[in-house]
Amino acid sequence: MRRGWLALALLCALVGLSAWHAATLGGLTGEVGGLLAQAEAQAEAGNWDGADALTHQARQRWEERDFYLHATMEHTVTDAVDMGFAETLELIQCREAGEYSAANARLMRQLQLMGEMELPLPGNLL
Amino acid sequence: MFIALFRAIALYLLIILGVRLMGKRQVGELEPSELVFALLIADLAAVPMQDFGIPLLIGVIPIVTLLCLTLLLSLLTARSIRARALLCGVPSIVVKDGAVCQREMRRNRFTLDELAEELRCQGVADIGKVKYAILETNGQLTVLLKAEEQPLTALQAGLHPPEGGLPTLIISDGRLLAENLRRRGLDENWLAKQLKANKVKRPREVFALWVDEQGQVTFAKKEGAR
Repeated sequence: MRRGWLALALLCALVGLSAWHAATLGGLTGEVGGLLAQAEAQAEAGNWDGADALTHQARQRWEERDFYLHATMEHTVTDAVDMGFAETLELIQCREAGEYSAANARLMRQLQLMGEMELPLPGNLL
Repeated sequence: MFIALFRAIALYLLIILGVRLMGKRQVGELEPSELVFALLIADLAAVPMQDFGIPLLIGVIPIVTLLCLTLLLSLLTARSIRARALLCGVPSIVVKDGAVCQREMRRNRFTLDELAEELRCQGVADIGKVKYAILETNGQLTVLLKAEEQPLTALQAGLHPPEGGLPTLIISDGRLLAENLRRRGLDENWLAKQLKANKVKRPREVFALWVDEQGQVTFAKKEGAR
């Protein structure tokens, strides 16, 4: 019976960890996405330095959780976000408004999808 | 390379743990839930072992989840007759008083050829000798012969052969198992006498030495020992 309780406890722990992971990832992608949205607003207002600083801040926030993300997410997904940051920052340096806007929107969408894909939604489950 | 090595070791150890926790039963005697676990576990482990893009955790979580579910289902089937019948099925009598139960045979998709083969494997050529043949939940056929066909036992013959009991291994491949010696109530002096009687000087010259509950010793000298 001890094994049964252990198995049940382990299953409960896995469910709890999954819920915590979904919440943590949702929070992180939301926060980083929010910073990127602010950066885009700064770029639209012509403040490229502000956009650059905010995007760097978003990237730093992302990289702080690098180990966690690599340990829990498929690497193709996290690598795509890394590449998205590199592309967006380069376009800010070049002051390419149209291309920056498209790249930033792509990156924000990637982050949003990343957060959503861990949620126990019927679409994800099926 | 390092990642492949680490992942292979980690997943291999996890699977061994899983199989160990399933118990001592042989593959042919697994419950359905355990068989499903055994079928899935290798595949689940192989994917993250080879694809480094998938985090190890993503491979480990399904294995641990399946292991937990298997343990819970095993406990459930051990405690509840209804759950056991639902998950493992119930034994079916396919032969009764020498006659084949055709309905049960059909229900279990068990053919006459398979029945004849199983009976032959158990040394029964004539189905008329069978009182009951029961198809167990693990797929094995238990054959109970009619009373007049059953072999004579010592009790029926009025004999009382001595009970040998469980033999205990005292020396295994040259190593003295002191705990077994003590548990059997024997000591080094007894062992020395046995070694001398078998013309060896040290335990390391002995391949195996057993003693049963009657004190009967079985001795095997190590090949090549001088």
